[in-house]
Amino acid sequence: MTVVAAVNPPPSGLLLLAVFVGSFVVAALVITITSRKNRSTSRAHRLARHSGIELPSHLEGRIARRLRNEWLTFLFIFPLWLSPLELTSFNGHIQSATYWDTWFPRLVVLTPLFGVAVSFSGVIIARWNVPGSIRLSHLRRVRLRQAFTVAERCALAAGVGATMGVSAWGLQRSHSSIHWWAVEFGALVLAGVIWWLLENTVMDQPSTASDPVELEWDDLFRFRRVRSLAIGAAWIPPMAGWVLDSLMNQQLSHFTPSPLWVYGPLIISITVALVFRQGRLLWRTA
Amino acid sequence: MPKTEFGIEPRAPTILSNSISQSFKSIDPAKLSSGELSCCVNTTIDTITPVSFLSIDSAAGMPPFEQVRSQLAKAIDSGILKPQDQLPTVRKLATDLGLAANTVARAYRELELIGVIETRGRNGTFVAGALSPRKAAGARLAATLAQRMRDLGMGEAEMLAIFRNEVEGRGGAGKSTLRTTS
Repeated sequence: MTVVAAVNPPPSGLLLLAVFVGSFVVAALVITITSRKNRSTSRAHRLARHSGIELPSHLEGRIARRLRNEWLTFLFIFPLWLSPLELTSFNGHIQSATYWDTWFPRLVVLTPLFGVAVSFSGVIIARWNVPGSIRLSHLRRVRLRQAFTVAERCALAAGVGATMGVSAWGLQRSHSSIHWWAVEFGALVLAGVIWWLLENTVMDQPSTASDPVELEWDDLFRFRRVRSLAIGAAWIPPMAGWVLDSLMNQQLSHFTPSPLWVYGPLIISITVALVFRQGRLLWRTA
Repeated sequence: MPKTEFGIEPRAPTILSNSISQSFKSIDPAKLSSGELSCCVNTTIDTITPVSFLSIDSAAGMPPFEQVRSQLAKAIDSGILKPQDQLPTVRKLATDLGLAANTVARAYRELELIGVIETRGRNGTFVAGALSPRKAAGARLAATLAQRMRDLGMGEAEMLAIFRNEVEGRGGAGKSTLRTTS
């Protein structure tokens, strides 16, 4: 404990306060700038252009509002899962071998469930359309598997594999008992089941289309939501686990803090984003 | 059919159904001329073509279950829905269209009775394959009967009412009409 404190002294309360106030100010600025009406409208037109879909004037406002709500939800949710990690990394008192032995298994077990919960809360957006007297629906059942290409499914499976790998490394490094290995496996299975149920919940939400163009937008949004949920559920847990692993490893090995651990997740994020560009037009198969 | 760069077939041409075209009669002519609502142009009752979606107009005179049933039947008949295609679940279709689940279930049941669709337990409802010889013979008889009734100047609703009365065993007037025409 003494050695750890000497290498990485705990920051003062003033510094912590400055960090949180700074984050709040930056977030407020970003929200103010990015949620302007003109910006949302231009995003709606850009999305329409990239998706090859019409954006009639009567839908322009609704689509723009929906995109702005999506963005604001993301900005609100993002700090919620970042805060625990910030607290963990800033609190020098808890960065000891005893701390990691005790708390690491509990934290890492929560990451798969946390990933699913965060992803789902990020795609909960209020209904964007008001149904009229005419209602449209598809002739065929739209299946969840239509929303992903083969490569994307492989990328999702790789995310699950990465979660298992990161968790196993951390559990092994913190000398966790077999009990925690079993609990981690159970948490992964449970997260998978919850993810599946939530995906189907999104797929089964009623469309509120009153004309064919609205039905297309509904499909586009639905596919974007299930894809975002899947990507988040598959790749947030290994990222969070990796951060925890790296923090623990630095403390236990008495390494000086290094930003190198950021590059791995960064490269993986770019790769995943490139893979998931493939299926951005899959909504047309609905 | 041309494909996009990702090998995805574009959707079937968007042609609005009867109920939609009727409700768009009051749209702004300026929008039509500017092409803003080009998807609605040239859509009249005479040129109705089965489309890749179902539409329900709650303000239309036709009962909702009949709208669902007839549109599905047309889609299957025209080949838009192919054998083994899976239909939406009753609950999903009902929520999408703002109908009661019983309404959609009734439309499915009627189509299932004539062998056009089939329910495979919890796997869902599918477009049936080729009809059995018995059902095919029944369908041919029905087609002949429908043609003769049309020749008599009857409309769809009248034909269905007479036929329903006959099937349900309470159609005295219907019996005489059918005997006269046969």
